[in-house]
Amino acid sequence: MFTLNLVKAILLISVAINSFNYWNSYYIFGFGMNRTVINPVEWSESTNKEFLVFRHCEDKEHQPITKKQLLKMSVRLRDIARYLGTGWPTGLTISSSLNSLQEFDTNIEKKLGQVTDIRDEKGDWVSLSVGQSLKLITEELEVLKKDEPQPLFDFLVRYNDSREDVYYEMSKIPLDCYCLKLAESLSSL
Amino acid sequence: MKPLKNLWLVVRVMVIALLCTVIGGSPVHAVNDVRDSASISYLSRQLEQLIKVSAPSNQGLQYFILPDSSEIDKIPADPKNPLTHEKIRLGQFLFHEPALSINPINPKHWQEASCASCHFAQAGFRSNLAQALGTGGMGWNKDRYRDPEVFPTEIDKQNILAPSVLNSAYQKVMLWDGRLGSTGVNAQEPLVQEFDVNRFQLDGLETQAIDGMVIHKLGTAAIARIPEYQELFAKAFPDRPYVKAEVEDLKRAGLAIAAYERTLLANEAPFQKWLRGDKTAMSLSEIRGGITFFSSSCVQCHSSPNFAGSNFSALGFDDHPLDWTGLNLGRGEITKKRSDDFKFKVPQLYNLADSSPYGHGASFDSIREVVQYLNKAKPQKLEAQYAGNLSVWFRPLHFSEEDVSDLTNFLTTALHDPNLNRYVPERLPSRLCFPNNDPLSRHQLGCDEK
Repeated sequence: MFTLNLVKAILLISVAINSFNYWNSYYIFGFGMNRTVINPVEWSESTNKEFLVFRHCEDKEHQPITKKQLLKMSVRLRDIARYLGTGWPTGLTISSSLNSLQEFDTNIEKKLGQVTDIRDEKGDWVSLSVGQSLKLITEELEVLKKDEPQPLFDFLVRYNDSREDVYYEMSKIPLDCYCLKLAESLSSL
Repeated sequence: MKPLKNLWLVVRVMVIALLCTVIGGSPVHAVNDVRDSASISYLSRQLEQLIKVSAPSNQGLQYFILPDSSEIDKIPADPKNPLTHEKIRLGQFLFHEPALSINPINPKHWQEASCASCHFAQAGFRSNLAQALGTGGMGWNKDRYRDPEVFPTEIDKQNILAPSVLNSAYQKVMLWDGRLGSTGVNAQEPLVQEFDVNRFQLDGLETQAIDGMVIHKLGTAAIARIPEYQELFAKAFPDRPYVKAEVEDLKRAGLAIAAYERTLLANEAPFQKWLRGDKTAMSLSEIRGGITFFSSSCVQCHSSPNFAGSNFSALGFDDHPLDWTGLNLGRGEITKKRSDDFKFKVPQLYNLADSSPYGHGASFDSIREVVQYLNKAKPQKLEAQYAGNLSVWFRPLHFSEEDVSDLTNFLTTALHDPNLNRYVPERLPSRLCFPNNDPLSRHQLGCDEK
């Protein structure tokens, strides 16, 4: 009985969140708009591996992402979206060392980072919500289907030092790298 | 001999020209008219047969005939909100009444917008904008824009196309994802029944009208001081205790608005006249378009008397460009069922030509574009395809260009009621400008001159 009530409560909360999203979408949109972006870093062979949150893409043993993985991920993301709304942040956590970041900014501590935004076609930063991530997965599915070269995207990674959030721009990240990282993250849930 | 022959030819041409002038048409046209008349008669019979097959329970043409708005016993209604002429009259005023807008986020916009700001008659009770603007909008019709002097959060807007209120009596659930309403398809959805907005256990139209009062920050306190409204409320709701001033009565105001909305029927459209027996009401191309509609998969989804659908379909339409979440799960987000992801309500099809753009995400600029899209059946949004939820009817239709034109004509003109202004009141008890009362709208609507 308790479990049933708990499930019901969770469902009602998610409905309330969804309703809030629907009627008040712009309020959420306003979150985190004042951001200082520093040190854009371009993905390349020569870049310090430690810096790269997507460094697994360089690994020789690394397996390319598969259609099956992508479809599984899209099902999982849709499950999340159904209960928490498509506006729910994907919150891809970066677990790599930040030694290289400290070279750029000595104030930053060794903390986890989070991929928060993606640059859209217009050049604006858009929050990486579950909906946006689903779109990226669909794009990757199409890339695999048509055997096209990987599209490159710019991401914002948020690190938190003692004073405020600091955002680093990661430029030209191949889409499959992001998808692989997301697959890792979701499989650990 | 030759000049004589030429003269004879000239005389013959002149006589024919004279005859044409007297009769009022060229002989070619006359032949065409006879041929068209024969074709109309033949094709009309063909269309009749197709409609009879499409109508459920052998109801025939009658099934698609929309009743007259005064025949309230024939209009589908919620038993908990029976239609009366008094209630409809009150609802007509309230629907257009900017004096209800008494709780805007920014006080600057006090009493400036009404329900009709986003659902006005001239636009087929839609907004004629990709993003409808309620409170905080400035200007009328296509010229309406966001008030640049206030924060975007102070403007009443949605990141989805404003659906039409026209013929909504035939819809049990409201909004694109059908979250509003306890009856119809929602009767089978226990989770949707639990929504706070569905607490009154009413049809979607009533639920939306009541909930809309809160969502759009409306209130009845200001109009309750107007004697005419006091009388209208008393007549519309005889069971209501008589109160003189400043009372909030959102529920009854919502019920009256819903009652009025149920009478908004496009029953003067050429197709409606044709259904009632005037076989000349539609052109040859419109009849051919009707045949295309009823003989193809169009009618499988657009099957209600108002050509809406009682179910939800995924046709891969793009989401609204201003939807910051990037993706709209549609019905799936409401029922929490995977099989409902990316499905949206099938809209009604009357008076589409009055307002653009089209699709829940405003992703089409014209009716023809929508027809061409459905003809090719290549989804704009591939997520629906990968989710495996695309409608089984979403298949290439193999229409020729002529079929596309005919179908577009059927949708554009045959399903167009040219006289929706009959549903607009001549004045409001508050004497405010309507449907919008912001300074620019007042100027554009000529209210300042009156």
